[in-house]
Amino acid sequence: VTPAQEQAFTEFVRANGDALLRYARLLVPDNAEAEDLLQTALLRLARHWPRDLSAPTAYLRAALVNLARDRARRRHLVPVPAEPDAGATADGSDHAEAIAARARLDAILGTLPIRQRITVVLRVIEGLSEAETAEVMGCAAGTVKSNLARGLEKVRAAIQATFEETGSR
Amino acid sequence: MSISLEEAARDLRALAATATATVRARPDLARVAQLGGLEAGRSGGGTGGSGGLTAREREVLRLVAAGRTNREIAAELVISEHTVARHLQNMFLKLGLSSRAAATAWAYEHGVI
Repeated sequence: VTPAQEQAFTEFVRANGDALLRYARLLVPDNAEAEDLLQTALLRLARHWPRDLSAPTAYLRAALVNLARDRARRRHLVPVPAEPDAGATADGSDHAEAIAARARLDAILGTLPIRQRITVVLRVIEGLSEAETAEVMGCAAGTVKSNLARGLEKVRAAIQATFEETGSR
Repeated sequence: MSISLEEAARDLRALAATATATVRARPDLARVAQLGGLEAGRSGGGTGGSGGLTAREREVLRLVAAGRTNREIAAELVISEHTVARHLQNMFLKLGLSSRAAATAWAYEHGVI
């Protein structure tokens, strides 16, 4: 690894770290887990870095999807009690509004099986196209379509339920 | 009152934006990844300080140094054994170590205990 490659890697992470962590946080309901996931994905990327990846962001999106799926599979086999989000972000600058929003978001996305969750995150929140999502998830476009339809319907039902509970939007 | 799929998508986007607005990557994220990835194989734990370990990794390391097994650590931290093993593997790479004993020695030398 040349110093120039190391420098390029550092700059890439500095430029994209926040956005990638936000994306990771949508895939798992816990800040610390999102950090662990991203770090593991970056370790993998760093090992491939000298090979001059043309699309490091696409590589990381796919790596994070795989890690989130592995995590869901293990949770399924060995049920682990849900850990409430400790709330605070790494630098301590957090707001009650963001903490409340994360709790609501986790409750809504938590009703989705992992594949539907990933599809909804990529298509609806990250704004990827159907083809891009299919590539990241390593599945057919039709699978993206059906996972999105089912997932979004569950999201709609969950949002609807909270409205009816609170009586307002 | 019933909401449409479009409204649900819009609400979800807005909620996600608010929820992650304060989420920031660690400033040393790149360095941490480089220690484990780009510099993998370079031996010697001469990285100083915390060696770029995450809070969770330090927690695992403390328990390893206390002689706990992966299973005991998993139970204590309420994570799976697989996750404990992954944390250990990442730490070994970052610190250039190859065993639990070496990790324990590193933990004592660097005041992680």
